[in-house]
Amino acid sequence: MDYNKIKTLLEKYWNCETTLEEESLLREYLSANEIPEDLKEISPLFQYYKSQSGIKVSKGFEEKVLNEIESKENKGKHRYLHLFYKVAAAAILILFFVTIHQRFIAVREKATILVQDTFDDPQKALEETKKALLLVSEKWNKGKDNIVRLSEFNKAEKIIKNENL
Amino acid sequence: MHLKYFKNEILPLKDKLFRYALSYIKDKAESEDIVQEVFIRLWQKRKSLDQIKNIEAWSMTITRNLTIDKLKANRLEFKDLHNVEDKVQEKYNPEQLVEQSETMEGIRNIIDSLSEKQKQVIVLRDIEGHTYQEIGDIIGIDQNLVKVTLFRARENVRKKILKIDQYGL
Repeated sequence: MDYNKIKTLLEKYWNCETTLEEESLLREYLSANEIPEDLKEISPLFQYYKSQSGIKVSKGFEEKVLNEIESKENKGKHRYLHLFYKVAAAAILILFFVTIHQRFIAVREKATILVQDTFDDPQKALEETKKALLLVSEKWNKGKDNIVRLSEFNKAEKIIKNENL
Repeated sequence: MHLKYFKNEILPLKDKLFRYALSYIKDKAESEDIVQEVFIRLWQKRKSLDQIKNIEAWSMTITRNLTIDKLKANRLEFKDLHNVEDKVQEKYNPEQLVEQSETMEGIRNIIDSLSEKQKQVIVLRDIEGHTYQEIGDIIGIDQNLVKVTLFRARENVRKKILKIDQYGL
């Protein structure tokens, strides 16, 4: 590149009037091996800029970042999985209690049906009750006869015991 | 944003972000950790990235913020970019700087001797090649102020390299 052009660009550079492209040109020119004597003093500055712009992260950095992102993503997924399990467990519990409750209600309804009144007419009910009571009394009397017989046996046993004494 | 887009458009910013973090923090491993964190945040916000005009500048801003947080956490000396005056830091001996200016290490020391704001502007412009507008967006200052700061930064660097102050030229 033309020496005079570089001198002009350099002046513009110090006055902050250069474009990014012109600054890039200066950097390239002044980092080269052959530099005019009067520019040698300032050239290390541009060499420094050029060397600094070449500094890179260590090898494998991208993989490290991607792995880290992936592991964070998986953690997020696991969190959702845990949430799913929790919801599923809660649903099963609710289902269990609802079933138990329904069963309980069904049994109670059955019991209620069993103790429900069978007669709407009181007269009929009275007759049926009388029938039932007669049946009970009839059975009761049958049982009573047997008890009278048994008590006679007892009396006889006592008499025999007294005679032996 | 799909993984393919992330790999092709976002991940290639890694070196740029790394250099930017490194310019603050001076530690490669810590700088890489910061850049990794930046990428993870970008990935997590991937659904809303469409609304961001300049992802590169935005990534640089996140890098800057995370780096500042890290520096604060490490309790290292850090001057806030928004309120520093353009004073040259005193930790570098001017005579030493002049003597070293012919070497890369010397130039590094000269750049490091600038105020934080000047240094950031010169790094973003002369090393990373950002426009004044982008630099303003990244650092959070007006682009006219970017240009003024860059002018002062380059002037400081030039004076130190050409030994203008040293010999009163």
